[in-house]
Amino acid sequence: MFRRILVEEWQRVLTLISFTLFFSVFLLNVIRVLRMPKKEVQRLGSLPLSEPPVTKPHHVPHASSL
Amino acid sequence: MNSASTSKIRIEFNDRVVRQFVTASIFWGIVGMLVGVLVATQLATWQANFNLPWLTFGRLRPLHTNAVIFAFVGNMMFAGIYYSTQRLVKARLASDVLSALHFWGWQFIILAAAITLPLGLSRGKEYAELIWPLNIAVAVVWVVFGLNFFWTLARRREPSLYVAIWFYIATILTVAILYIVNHLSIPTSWTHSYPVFGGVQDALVQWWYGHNAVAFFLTTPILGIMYYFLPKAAGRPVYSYRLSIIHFWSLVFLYIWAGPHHLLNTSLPNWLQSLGILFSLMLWAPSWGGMLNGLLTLRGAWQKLRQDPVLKFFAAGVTFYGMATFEGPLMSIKSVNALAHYSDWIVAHVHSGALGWNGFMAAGMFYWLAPRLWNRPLHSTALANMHFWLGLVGILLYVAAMYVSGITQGLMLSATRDSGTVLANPNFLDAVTSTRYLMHLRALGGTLYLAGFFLLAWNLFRTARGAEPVNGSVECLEPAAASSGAGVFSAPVVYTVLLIVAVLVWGAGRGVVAGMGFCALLAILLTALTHQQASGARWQDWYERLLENSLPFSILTAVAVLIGGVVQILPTVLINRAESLEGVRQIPYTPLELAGRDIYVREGCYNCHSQQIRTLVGDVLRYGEFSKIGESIYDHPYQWGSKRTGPDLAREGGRYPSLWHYQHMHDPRQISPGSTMPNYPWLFTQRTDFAALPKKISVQRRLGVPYPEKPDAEILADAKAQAGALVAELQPGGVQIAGDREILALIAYLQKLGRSEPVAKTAEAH
Repeated sequence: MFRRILVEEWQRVLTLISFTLFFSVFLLNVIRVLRMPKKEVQRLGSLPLSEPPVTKPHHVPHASSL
Repeated sequence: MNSASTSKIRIEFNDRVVRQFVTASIFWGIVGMLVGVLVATQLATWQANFNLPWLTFGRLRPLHTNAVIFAFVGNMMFAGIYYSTQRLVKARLASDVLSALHFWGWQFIILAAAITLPLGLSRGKEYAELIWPLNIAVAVVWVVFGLNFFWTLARRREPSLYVAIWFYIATILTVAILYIVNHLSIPTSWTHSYPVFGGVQDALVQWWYGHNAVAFFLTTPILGIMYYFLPKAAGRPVYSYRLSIIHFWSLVFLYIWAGPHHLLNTSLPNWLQSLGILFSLMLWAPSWGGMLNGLLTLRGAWQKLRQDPVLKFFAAGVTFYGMATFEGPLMSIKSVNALAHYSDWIVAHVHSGALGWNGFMAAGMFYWLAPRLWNRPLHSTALANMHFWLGLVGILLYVAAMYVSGITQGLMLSATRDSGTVLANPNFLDAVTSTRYLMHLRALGGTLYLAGFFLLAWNLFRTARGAEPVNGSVECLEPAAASSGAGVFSAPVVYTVLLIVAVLVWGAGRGVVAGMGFCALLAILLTALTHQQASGARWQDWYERLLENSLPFSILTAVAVLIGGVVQILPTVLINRAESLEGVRQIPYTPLELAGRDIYVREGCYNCHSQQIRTLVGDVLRYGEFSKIGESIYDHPYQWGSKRTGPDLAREGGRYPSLWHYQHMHDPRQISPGSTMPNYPWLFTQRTDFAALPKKISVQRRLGVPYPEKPDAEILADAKAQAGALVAELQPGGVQIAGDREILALIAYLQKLGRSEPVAKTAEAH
């Protein structure tokens, strides 16, 4: 019965293939991410905060407010 | 610019272009929202159309959507990308000239759109209305943006690419692919063209683009902005960097497949509808993963929300992202979609995303940026807080009104009695009049939201006034730490490309070729494994090397995106239109009907009227037999629509006499009391452009519409003869009108809608 519902037209197999494909990519991704070294994860996560504070920004030569 | 020292170099960022984009975003945001309030008012009060062609709903609604998407969010996104990228990669934008070209080019396009759309110069496809010369300008400016961005990455001093940069790369590549494919057209003049796809093909390509415009223009860049600005504002790193990686790949891989959920219960092939539903439901996971990652970044900083308007906007923005991305998959379930589609529920959903997610993220980013770009504290935190509450109340009022209105429309228009054999509300206008008060509430909600943005503009103006704009800078080591293309020819990239080629040969080839593809696939896999073992490398290392090189990373992203696009689009685009298409095939329009169709597109009728009878009881009882693929196969562009403010027109031809249409276009309320449709008095005075018809028909023929070869004079004579016959038909009703008026062409088109013939008969005729 399920076969009839899912494979009624040959193209419908594509939905199953697509799901399998995505799930494989997702699974590989999760495995890879879980195996990332903790230090590396912390370093990458802190990138936006790692910029040194700009104490004396350079002034734009033009007086334009833009 | 850069003051070099013995070991370190000071880089001054190009923040001028960031300030320009911020300013432009606020300006165009206010313009777009103002037009939004006007079109919302027009839905409540038809008089707000002012009987002027350039102020009618059909022409202004595209201006509103384009202004908000491409002008407001577009400029905001460029500001956020340029600001964060320079700091994340520790490099100034590669070229000041390209930055300026990008900024001014984009503003030129927006200005041109603001002029051409009210003039009725439109391609007739939602969010893709701009005429073909502007399409080319968009492509050129986008390439300039991409060049500037990737060139900057090539000069970076930070070897790793933070996840925000990944989202930006996905945006640049995917928008380019989507935009180009959906805008392929053949011009008939400098301001008019026909899209190369027609009917179901055009519908599919349009929503592949339309859905992913939401995904890759309104979502991925803003997620990148979230991953950069939220940790900055909260003063702590993103909750889980691991989750952000899964979020990225899952989102990029999944989003592109979900387009067909805009075409559920239509004549789109069922397997595509199933695909759209499946992938939309799967989108729940990455979307909520990203939303939770954003919200949890605020862990331990919640107390700051009381005082800090930036965090308030970000927290509410991310929450709206969560709500909108919960609602989207929900509405992709066929039974829910049957109720929601073509109703104001969709409008509520879109605005919960645009006002809540995009608008609030933009506001939060602007309030965070202003003191840093102008080196002065924000003029008034109290005003910013007031903006937040005005905006929030405005959104809630707007969205709640649209939910109630949408569900009312859906229920009323699909309700039946007598065991489902008779419509409970046969008069479409009952649904219009029942929800009119909600249209007033909607306009009020929009006005409150707009008022909040006026406060933002004033606050930022006062912050910047008299202040000296500053460019940020950073000290870092020379030379540049990474090169973008270095990893292109590395082993993992070469093996990946070879594997993809082998899979394609295996999948697309036949017989021996397919066998060779399969053998090649196995051989490449074995070689790669042997190479890896011999070299002692780990897959992990190979992958990390890929991620540190923007070019191969971009190729990976493009592959992830293209898989979904190719599987969906190719089978439908490659179908043979001459084959049997559910037993019926559209009869091509006569020259006069084609002219009328162009008027229909120009006036933006598709903004309120669909041309697609769904496979639903309510639709079939109201409009007749459900639409078949073949019935619109020669429609360039397709006009299935996405909203029914008025009834469906798929089978309008012959439903009413021509005199009915004549009087209805002059004053809809004379025929249909309570209608909100504008009057179209100019159609009775403007002349049909007969001279353009030979060229238009020639282009249609090139697109595959089976028009017989005819001399130009004969085409013109046919058109004028049909107009003359219409004049004669109208005369007994007391109508005196010249044969060259646009109203006649439009009536001819409307009377043709739904006319098709059995395929066998058509095959004999051609």
